[in-house]
This record gives sequence, C-alpha cells and structure tokens, in this order.
Amino acid sequence: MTATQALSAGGTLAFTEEHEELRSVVRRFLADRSPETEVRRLMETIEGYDPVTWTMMAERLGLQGLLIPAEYGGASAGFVELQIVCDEMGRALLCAPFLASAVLATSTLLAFDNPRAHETYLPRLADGSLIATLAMTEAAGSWSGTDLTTCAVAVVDGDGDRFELTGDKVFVLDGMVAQLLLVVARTDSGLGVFAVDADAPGVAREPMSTLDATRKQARVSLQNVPGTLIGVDDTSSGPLSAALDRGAAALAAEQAGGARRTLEMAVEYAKVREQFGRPIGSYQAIKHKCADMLLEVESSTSAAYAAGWAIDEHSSEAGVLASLAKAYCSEAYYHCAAENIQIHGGIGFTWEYPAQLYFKRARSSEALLGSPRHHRELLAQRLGI
Amino acid sequence: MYDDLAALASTTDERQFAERAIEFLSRNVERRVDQTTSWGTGPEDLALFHETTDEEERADADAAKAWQRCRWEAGFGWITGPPEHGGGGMPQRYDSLYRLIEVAFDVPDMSPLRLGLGTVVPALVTSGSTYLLDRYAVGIQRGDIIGCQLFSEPEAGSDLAGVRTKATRIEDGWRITGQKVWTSNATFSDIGLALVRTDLDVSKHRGLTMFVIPMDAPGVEVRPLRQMTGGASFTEVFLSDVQVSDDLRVGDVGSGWRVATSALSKPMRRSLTRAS
Amino acid sequence: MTAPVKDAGVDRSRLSEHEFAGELKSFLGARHPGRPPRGTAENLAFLRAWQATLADEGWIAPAWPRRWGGMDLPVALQAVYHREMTLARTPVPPTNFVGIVGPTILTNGTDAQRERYLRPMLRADELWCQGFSEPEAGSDLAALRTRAVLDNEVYRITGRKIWTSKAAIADFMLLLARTGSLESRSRGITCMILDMNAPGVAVRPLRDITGGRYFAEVSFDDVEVPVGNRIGDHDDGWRSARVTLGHERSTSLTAAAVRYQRVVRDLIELARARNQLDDEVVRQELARLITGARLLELNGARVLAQVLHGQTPGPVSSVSRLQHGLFEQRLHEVALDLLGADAMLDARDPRLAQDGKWVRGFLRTRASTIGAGTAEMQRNTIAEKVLGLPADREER
Repeated sequence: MTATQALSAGGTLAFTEEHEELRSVVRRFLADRSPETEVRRLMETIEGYDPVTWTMMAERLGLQGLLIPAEYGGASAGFVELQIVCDEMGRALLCAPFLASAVLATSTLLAFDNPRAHETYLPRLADGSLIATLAMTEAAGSWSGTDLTTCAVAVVDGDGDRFELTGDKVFVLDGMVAQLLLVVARTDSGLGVFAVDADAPGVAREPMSTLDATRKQARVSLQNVPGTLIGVDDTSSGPLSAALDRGAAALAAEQAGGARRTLEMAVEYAKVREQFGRPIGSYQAIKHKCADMLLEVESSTSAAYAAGWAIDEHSSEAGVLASLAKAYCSEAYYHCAAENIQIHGGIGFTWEYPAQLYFKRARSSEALLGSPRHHRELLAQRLGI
Repeated sequence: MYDDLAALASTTDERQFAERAIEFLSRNVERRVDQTTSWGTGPEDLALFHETTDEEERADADAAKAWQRCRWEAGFGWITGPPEHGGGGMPQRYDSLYRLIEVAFDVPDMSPLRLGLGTVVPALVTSGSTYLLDRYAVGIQRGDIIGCQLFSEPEAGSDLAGVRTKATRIEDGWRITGQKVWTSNATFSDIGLALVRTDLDVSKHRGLTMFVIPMDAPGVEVRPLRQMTGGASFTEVFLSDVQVSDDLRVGDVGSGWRVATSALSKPMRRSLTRAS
Repeated sequence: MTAPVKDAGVDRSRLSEHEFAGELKSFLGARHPGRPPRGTAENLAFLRAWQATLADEGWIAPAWPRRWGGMDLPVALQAVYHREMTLARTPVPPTNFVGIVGPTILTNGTDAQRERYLRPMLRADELWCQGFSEPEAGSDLAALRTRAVLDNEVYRITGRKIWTSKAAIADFMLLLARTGSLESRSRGITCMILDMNAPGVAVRPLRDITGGRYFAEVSFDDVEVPVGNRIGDHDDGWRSARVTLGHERSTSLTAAAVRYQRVVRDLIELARARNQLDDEVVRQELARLITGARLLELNGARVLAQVLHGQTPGPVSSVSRLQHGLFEQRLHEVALDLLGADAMLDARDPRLAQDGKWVRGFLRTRASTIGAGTAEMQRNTIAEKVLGLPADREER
C-alpha cells in the first residue's frame, strides 16, 4: 500500500489533538524563550544558542529525547512529532543545536546497531547534557559520501573499534559547541562513522562565517585524533543514508514552518500597509503573490509530513518522500521568503525587520544536506529512473 | 591617442569642444586602463548600492567635489547651465559628449554628487528663483556643496504624493516637521531638496510644495539605515520644527508635485547617456 | 423510453474500505466495458451504455442519496470508489452530472423535478449541459444578460450562452438567466431547466484550439420554459446553482491526482523511448513532475484526512484546482520538450503515432487555467476568502 493510499484510507495525516497540543506547547515555549530579540542576540555569538533555553527544552519538554527510545531516557516519539517541533522551531528561527544534535547526530547513532554506543551517548543526548553533531562534508561540499578523503586508521592493539582519524571537515553544524563529533571517514573496508571527542588533542575547530547567522557552522580539522567506530556503512542506502533522510525530512518540516511564517507576515503587512489610499493587499498583484505562496506553504506541509509519516511507518517510500520533501520545501521556502521581502517593499530590505532573517535561513537551508537539484536526482534514482 | 574620443563628435563645433575637453582631461588625469572590451574581464562589483565606512564616504565626497571644481574652472562644470549664472549655455548634446569622453578617463567616482547634479539642480533651474539658482545650483555645479533628495517617507513609498511632512507658514518663513527615509548621501550633504505638505485641505497632489533645507539647520537629524546586507547606504532624516525662510521655497506654494516629477525624470536621461 | 432503474437495493455504505474495494473490483472484473471505440457516434453510445449499467447495478453517484439513485457513501468510501474507478481506467461519463447540474436539482429542486430528471440523468438516457457563461459574462458571471421574461406560466428566453460543453448532444440545459435588472447583478438571476429541443434553441459548435468542437454557442430566440422548470425561487438562481455535493470535488480531485501519476509514468517512458533519460536536465524536469503529481495527491489526502477526522478542511482544500490546472499545463510542456522537433507536428501526423496524445493534451490544457474559473480569479478567491485580503471589486 502506498503512503497515500494509507493516508486517505486511514486519515493519519490529519493532525490529532495530541499533535495540536504539542504544537501549541512548543509554540508558547519558543515565544517566551526565543523572541526575535533573543534570535538577534544569539546571532552575534559564536555559540549560537542559550544554554538555559537548551536545558529547559530537555528538562521541561523532553525535546532532545523525542527520537530516543524510552530505555535511554527519551520519549520514543514518532518522527511526525519531531517534525512538529522542527516546524515550530523554523517558524521562530530558534538558534540552537537541535537539528545537529537531536536530529542528525541522534539519528546517525540510532541507525547503527551498536548497543554500547547507544548506552554511552543516548541518555546524555536525551537530557541535553551532551551536544553532538555529524561531521561529514568535505571540500566538495556535498552530502553524498562518495568524495570523502578523511581517513581512519585502525589502532593496532585496540579492540577493533579504536582508530585514528585525519582529515578536514566543513559545514559542521554547531561544530563549535558540540562535545561529540560523529565523523564520517574512510577505512580500508569502506565508510565508517566514528565517535570523536571534540576536545581531544588534534582537533582544531573554527567558526565559518555564514550567510545565516542563526545556524552556526564550523570547520573541523583532525590530525591523528582518536575515534571509536560506531559502525560501517557499506551501501549507499545504508544507515548513514537513512540518517541523512531523517535529517532532510526534519529540515523540510522546519522549512515548511518558516515558509508559513513568511506568508503570515506578508499577509498581515498587506492588510495594514496603505498606499494610494488603500491597503496594498487589495491590489491583485499582491493578492496573487500571496495565493501562490499559500499553494507552496500547503504543499510543503503535505510533503514534509508525508515523509515523516513514511518514516514512522517504515514505508519503503520513506527515502523517496524525504528527497521529494527536501527539494520541494527548500525552493518553496526560498520563494516565499523572497516574496515576503518584496511585499514589504523598502522596509523588507532593512536589517531591523525580520523578513531578512527568514530569507537567509531559507537560502541557507536550501543548500544544507544537499541542494534541490541533488535531491531531485536522488528522487529519480530511488524511483528507478 | 585620443582619436577615438574625438571621433565621438559629429559637427565641427562639437569637434572643437571635444578637443578642448580631451586637452583638459589628459592634462589632469590618466586615461582609464581598466576599460574593458572583452567578455569576462572588468570590475566585479555589481552592487546597486555602495557600502563604505564614514571616513571612506567623506573622502569620496571630498574627491568628487574637488573634481567638480576642476571641471568648473575649465568651463566643463555646467555645460548646459545659464550663462548669467556661470554656465556654458550649450545644448544638451555637448553635455552628453563631454560625459562620453570623460568616461574614458580615470576621474574620481562622482556618485556622491549624483543627486545634487541630477535632481536638485534641475529642480532649481525649472522652478527656483534667481536667488536659489545663484546660491545653491551654482554651488552644486561648482563643487562647493552637495545636495540630497528628501522625498520618500515611511508612509509614502510607491505613493510618493502621500507625503506627510508638514510645512506651516510662520512669520519669517516656514516651520517644517516630519520624517524622510531612504535618503542617500544625507550624512555629507549640505542641502536637501524636500517635498512637503503645505495644504491639508486640497487633494493630495495639489497640497505639496518643494523646499531647500540646509542640512545643518537646527532640528535636522540624520540617522543611518542598516540594510539586510549589513551595510548602511541610506539614512532616515528627521525634521523637528526646522525653520526655513520663504526664499528657500522652490516654485509656488502647491506646485511641489510638478517640481518633483520633472526633477525625477531628468536623472533617467543622464544615466542612459552614461550607460551607452 | 426510460428503463426502470433497478432499485439500488444493496446498501454498501456500511462496508469496510477493504470490503467495499473488493466488491467494486469484482464488479469491475465482471462488467468493465473495455476501451471506448474511436468514432463519435459509437463512442457516445458506448459511454451511455456503460453509464446505464453503472446506474442499474447501483454503482453510480457515490455521494448522492440512494432514494435518487446514488450510493450515499461516507467520504472514506467515496474516496475508495474514485480511486478504484481511476485505477481500473473506467470510461468517463458522457456528460458531467457530478459537477453542478445534478446537485443543483438534488438540493434545490422540487420532488417532482427530482423524480422527473435525476434517474434519467444518471442512466444517461438524457444528457445535460450547463448554460452559464456568455460573451459578456465570463469571469464576471453575475453580469450575464440572457433574458427570461415571465409571461403567465411561462418564461420567455432570449439571449446567448457560450462555452457550453456538449450542447450538441444535450437534451436539457441547466440555465441561468436574467430576470431582474442588469444593475441587480446576482440578485436578479433565475435558474431553470431548458429543453434543448424546444423551438428557438440553436446550437452552433465552437471550434477550439485543438480543432475539436467540444464547446458550443447556444442562442435562444423567444424560447419557452414552463414555470414548473424553475429551480428555486424567481431571482434566487444565483444561490440555487452554486451547489456542489459534500466532498465530491475533493474526492474526485484526489482520484485525478492518481491519474496524473500514471501520465507522468507515460512521460518517463516517452523520455526513455527518445533516449533522453540520461540527460540531467530531463531528469530534473521529470523529478519536478513526479513531485507535482505526488503533491496533488498528498494535498488531496490531507484534505480527506481532515474530513475523516471530522475537521473542517483547512486552506489546503482551496488550492487544488489552481494547482491541478498549473500542473497539467507544465506536464504537457515538458512532454513537448521531449518531442523535440516533433513538437512541430499535428497529432495526426504518422510520425507521432501514439505520441500525438501529448500534442492534443498540450493544446487542450491551455484551457486548464481558464475554464471553470481562471487562475487569476482562483488566486483572487484564495487571497480574499482564505487569506482575508481585502476585495478590490464589487462584491458578488
């Protein structure tokens, strides 16, 4: 049964009351802890997040533990629940290592069948005391895993899972504040994912100057750094790929949330701003832009959550829908954020007005985890074309 | 070496003019070497708005003024201007010809003077009194002062006729209060050409009047506008009970819209000339 | 004349989705008529016969009450019905009774009218067309001018309708005519049933961009319509005729989305046949179309899910028609790109063979953003009704 056959037959894609409750709790929390002033304050820092807010997210709402099984202190929640949280975070432009740690790194760990690694790291990820991030991309700037040169050499008298890693990573999300780096490196027998202590000798970290200051990224270089093997990824549709799909689906939901917020901003402004004696929203040029934005916002929501639902149902379509959603939501969010600026006229171009923050988040997110072009090609390949 | 430039002239008179211009320019500046004629080379800065520090801005403005003075002294400062005010009294095509020739030379960036020369002076020429022409138009053309444009407001963007900055008649002139936005060059301008509302009882286009406002007058406050690129090419200008004498009025009371529209249509022609 | 409809004895409305799908599949397995023949007269007879079969066997009009020949199905089963019929590629009925005509009579007609007209409509014993648009009243339908003057017990109709689908074969028309002043706009319009065979009715086919004559102009020269044929009250036609049943539109649109996915697969085969499947740009375009078709389906599924959960469908339910129209056009534009030089051919040229369908579709879908509400009007509606932006025209 295809995802959508089940959708229309089972109605899973309607948000339940519990979903709406979760959404409203997170929205209230973020309105309180992440208003625009806070976003702008954190943009100017290197850490890019507020430790108190981070702790509250874990302790009060259990957000970091959503994907983590209950036996490790998490909530064993569904992926759709996680997406609702990411959606709201995208709407509020929350500055925090959530995507990096609670989604990508957590999903990477969970993708490998390694109980020791799970016991060691998952409980601390769940309670927020450990921040982790995936260090994968290298000079070529891709997430395809085919062009990696960081190498991991086995430590001779180790117990088989101790290695030394050397190489340079870029675009490491929240790389400056992560304590645990999950480094993708090449071994004699293929790609492996390694747990590396970010403070280990031989690790050099430097912030990258990003277009979107709400999402921090770092360069990380490794020189003979000790790392523990989490697992080997020997096929292109293996655990790492599944983790990246989860990252893409979560990011798609974040993008859908941001796009929806830009539509709201544009419509609010269009109703209030008057020129030539009437609200600019009464002009068809503006109306038509907003209508087109609504079409994209609704389609983004459908796409993102369909991917999340497919992940929850372990559907064979999960990868297809994750790529579809990432490509579509990226372009939709960008387009909405751009139109939001356009509808605002001059004020949309100013530093102080929030429209520019969403625009930069949109454009940056478009490139993160693979461009729309990359994901469309992935979609075609996954469909056997 | 300059035959290609002299060849831009079409008539004998133009030719003589061109030769004078070339002689002046070659005596004072180098020919531009980075003039590009091949695809793939040339300056990379495609920015619509330039972003500089305050010191750089002031230095650019001073350099532009100095060059404008130099042009004036050689007789190229106001080629089309009325002779009784120091201008050359020549037809527009001589001005265009001079600009085409000058483009080949490495003169300072004249954009700090663009608004003064392109908008303020034309407005004063078409609608200003002799007093305004002598005091300000000549001053701008001679490179003594810099002018800016005080038109747009927060509530009057696309709908420029919706401006609300108010000018009230007082004994010695007018009192002006309001707020202008998106003003380029205000931080180093000496005067601003301001479109303000003088009559609330008539239709919005008919109740407007144009004024020259000295930017150092009490009550004038300039604040930079930071834009999403991080830079600040524009400013907000706050006018709080700024007093100006009636002789700073440009044109009749109520003629402001006409002055504005004719002033705004001029820069188009000038920039088209440069582009070609 | 009209064969008696077998009493829709079987009430399938309480079946589970699985059981219902099973019964429908076995009915189709036994009775599916195969592909329709090409010639016009044969094609019409074939489609009418199939519709009569569906009506007689109780497999038609899933949203209609059983009393009037429908199946009275809950929304979930309506969705299954449309999906299964689409997947089985069953022929489409010869005239559109689902859209407005049937529901208008169902909802606002008298019992006598329902008795007289609904079952023959369902059996395709009588065919219908819709008389709404006029040369001077397209998007602004409330400006229509075809006059209906009440004279004793008869309305006398004078005027012209345009873009009337299938008028040439229709027996009856659902007509909107002006009974009030022009200034009264929508408040001076009356809805009535007009006999297409009455004296004074002239049908002139309109040839369109495809070369076909699907639409017609219908002129009325003092045509008589008995007062008993009026639907709803005098001057109240605007309200009477703007009826769609329940969630018919969303369930059938979701089925259309399923059909698109098949069409996109055909397009992929076209790319393969033309050795363009390795071209990066082609792959990107195909991926976009796959995405577009899936989004139509996912949006439709989300609407359906909301309905099934007893929620009022949100804004996602308002974008489907616009999205369908735009998608259909893009699909055919990509198809013609793949045809390369063959895009210069007419569908009849032997070089195109069965690829001619893309050219026909390409031309036909120019109307996708025009008919049944232009894309611009749809955007206005979305902006005003869903987003709450202010109107800039006189209220309809």
